[in-house]
Amino acid sequence: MPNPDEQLRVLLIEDNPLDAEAVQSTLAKAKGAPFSLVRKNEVKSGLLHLASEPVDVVLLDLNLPDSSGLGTLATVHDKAPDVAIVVLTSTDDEMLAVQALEQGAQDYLAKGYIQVYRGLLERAIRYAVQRKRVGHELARMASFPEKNPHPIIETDMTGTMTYCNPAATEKFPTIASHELHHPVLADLRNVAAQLQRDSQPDFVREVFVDQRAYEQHIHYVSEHKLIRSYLIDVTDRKQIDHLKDEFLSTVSHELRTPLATIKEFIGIIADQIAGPLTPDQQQYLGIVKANIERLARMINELLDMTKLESGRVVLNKEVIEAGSVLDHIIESMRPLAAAKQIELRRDPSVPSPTLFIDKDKITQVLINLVGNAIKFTKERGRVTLSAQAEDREIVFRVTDTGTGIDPRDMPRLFEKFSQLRGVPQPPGSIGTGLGLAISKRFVELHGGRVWAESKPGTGSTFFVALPKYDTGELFTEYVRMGLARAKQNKSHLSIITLVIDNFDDLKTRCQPDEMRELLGSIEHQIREHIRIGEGDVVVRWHSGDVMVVVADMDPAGCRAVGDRLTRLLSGHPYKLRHGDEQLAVVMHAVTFPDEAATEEEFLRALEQRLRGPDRPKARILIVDDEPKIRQFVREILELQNYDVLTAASGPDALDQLRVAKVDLILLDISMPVMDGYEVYHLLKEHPRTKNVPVLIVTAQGERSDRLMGMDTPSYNYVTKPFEVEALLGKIREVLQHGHKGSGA
Amino acid sequence: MANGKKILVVDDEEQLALAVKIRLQSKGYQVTTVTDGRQGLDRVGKEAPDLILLDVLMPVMDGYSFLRELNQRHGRGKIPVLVLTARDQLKELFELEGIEDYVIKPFDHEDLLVRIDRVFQRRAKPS
Repeated sequence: MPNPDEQLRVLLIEDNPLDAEAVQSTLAKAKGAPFSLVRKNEVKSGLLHLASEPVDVVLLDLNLPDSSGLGTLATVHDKAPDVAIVVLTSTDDEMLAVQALEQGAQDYLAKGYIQVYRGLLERAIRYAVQRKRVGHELARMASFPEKNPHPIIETDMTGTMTYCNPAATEKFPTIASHELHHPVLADLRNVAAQLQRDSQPDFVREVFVDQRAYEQHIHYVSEHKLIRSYLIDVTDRKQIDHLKDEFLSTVSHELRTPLATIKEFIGIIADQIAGPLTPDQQQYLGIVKANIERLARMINELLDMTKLESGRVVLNKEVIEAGSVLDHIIESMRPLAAAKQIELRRDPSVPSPTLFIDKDKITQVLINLVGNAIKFTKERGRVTLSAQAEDREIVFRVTDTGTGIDPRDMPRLFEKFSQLRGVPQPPGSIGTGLGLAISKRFVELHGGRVWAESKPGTGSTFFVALPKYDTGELFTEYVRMGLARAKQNKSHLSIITLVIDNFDDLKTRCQPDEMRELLGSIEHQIREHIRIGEGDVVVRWHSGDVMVVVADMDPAGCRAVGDRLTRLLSGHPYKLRHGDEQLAVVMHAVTFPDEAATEEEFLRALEQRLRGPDRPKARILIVDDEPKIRQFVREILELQNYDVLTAASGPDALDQLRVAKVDLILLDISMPVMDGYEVYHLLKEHPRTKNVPVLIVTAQGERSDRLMGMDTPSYNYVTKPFEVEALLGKIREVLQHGHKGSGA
Repeated sequence: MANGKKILVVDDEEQLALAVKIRLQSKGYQVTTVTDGRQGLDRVGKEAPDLILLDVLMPVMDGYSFLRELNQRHGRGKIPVLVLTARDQLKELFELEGIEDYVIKPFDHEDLLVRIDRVFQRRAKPS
């Protein structure tokens, strides 16, 4: 902004003395003498002045002795491009004026008006100076995108390009002709719509053009309704990242091989295979071993961190009991705790929830936490582990009676390379500073959280919360996860189903506990055979089938595994109380994407193979007086491929049961006319129905003592309102184990 | 006890193979080590081992070619083969027939001993 007190230096180039006089006298009359004026008669002298003296504005007559017309303007503008110019015309010539403005003048003024409207000249001068300054500023601003070495592109809301800077034209020469098909412009319209909808400021994506990778930062500029993209070439960075990953992976691999050799030979010496050792030698070898372990751990942590940072960690989730994870951890950490006489125990008061986790990763997390707890706890202290199912999470706690954590350390606790302050680290125990950072990322990969609470001097508790899974969703989610992984890696996902064909036969000849034992041993055998990294075993024992999930294996490989498993199971007799039994195992395999192209197809194929063509469907009778409930339950049961009958009352049910044979009765307790208790007793009296399992349906809060009086084991009733999965689970359970409470 | 069963270790990691050999010898096995598949095949011809411990990635002749040749010459599964492999090569194993079991490297000698023992137990059963 021009300073109002500042005097504007005006150069008048005018050969006509009368016109010059008019300007001079007008400016002289302006209040506060805001202008200083110098007059020249011709272009040549005017330019000389411009070259030697500072000038803010030139008042320029176009027709001078040494120059005329627009050429005069061109000469002056060329020699003094930074000075504002007001063209003085003798007549009100609009055409000339417009041309003058186009060729560098900031304003024009007809000489005839100068004395008529005195303010006009002053206004024109000020306006021209101001406009020149704004023009400067604009040019400066425009140079930001124009000189920017990174491509910048603007499009309208349909994705059509409205601007691109020279860097963009240089790096994407075909961008103008490709229009919407150019990778940089592709899909911008949808991105913009989404940004607008979510009122998010920006979105970053990666695009590839001519074998280079760009990070495209897309902004929705709401005040101008346009989409602006800034592109940063990240090819080199990615290459370097890749090299770094490869380097670290090679180095740690190369380090591991000699370390394994060292470990083996130290083991041979320590186990006295190569000759007897003195107690001192044994002790020293113990120290060597501990340090080999430490070195191995550090190499693994470096490798883990590298993988985590490049996003190459894939979880291998499986269903597992929290208790077995904790037991394993306590087992492997016991020697470390014992060395400091620290009591390491699992809090036994809480039942052990089932988890759906990558066992190796979560075990590593918890071992890390327990290791820290032991490290920072004094001799004869205590470290406690527990796992508890809460509302939507399963929470692990590692509590110690140690030194506690300085509050100043809390915020940085889970950051990379953070070592605790104020706590003396036991000699030889300083780690990589990566342990907690890796733990945090592993837990977050599971969709969980990790945090700590501590009282300095009293102890700390570390929490690991993992999301809880509904057992019903589990398998489907499990398969979905595998499919997503297969899609991402452009690989396969195979599922082998092993159906024990003579399951029903066996069931009639075995006691339930014996059956459970048999199934357990089958499951164990398969698990033994299939190990992590290769595949998982998922068991759905509703009618004698097992599923083995084998990731990343093509149909041939998958069938080979399936054949091996079939041979394993059916190749030898099982000793049971009543004699030897042979299993008849039928194997099916389905592989994505070879045999099922979509997720739905895959799940359907799986379901079909499990059901088998000739497996008889279980028939269920629903007895409920509420039509809506009957309809609802019928639908969910039919979806599970059960054969469904319904009855609207007790008498209706008894009537139907005189002819129909059913495998299970779902019986509502509170019904008019004849209530469920009455129906139940009638069913149990009749020889035809007394062995049919009954699943009692009660409303929440209904008296359960009457149920007990009916000699019904607790698993044989469900409560309304129904939880679909719970109901289905119960039905499967009752169908499989038969009716224990029938008294038969 | 291992009562003198003959085990052939085929692994180019010579020193690690030596450690395995010492371990196995301490359990009463007779152990020979060679560093590639070609030598392995020669050995099999000479001394008819009861079990082969086979590394996968080796110079001269790798584990895959070794197995193919072995199956052709001596019949599939005649001599039990226990493969020593890295975790990320597991899936390729299943394209090969005639493998009895495998151990993931870097392995723990306890695990190796248990698996070897199990192979012999299975083979000992009358089929």
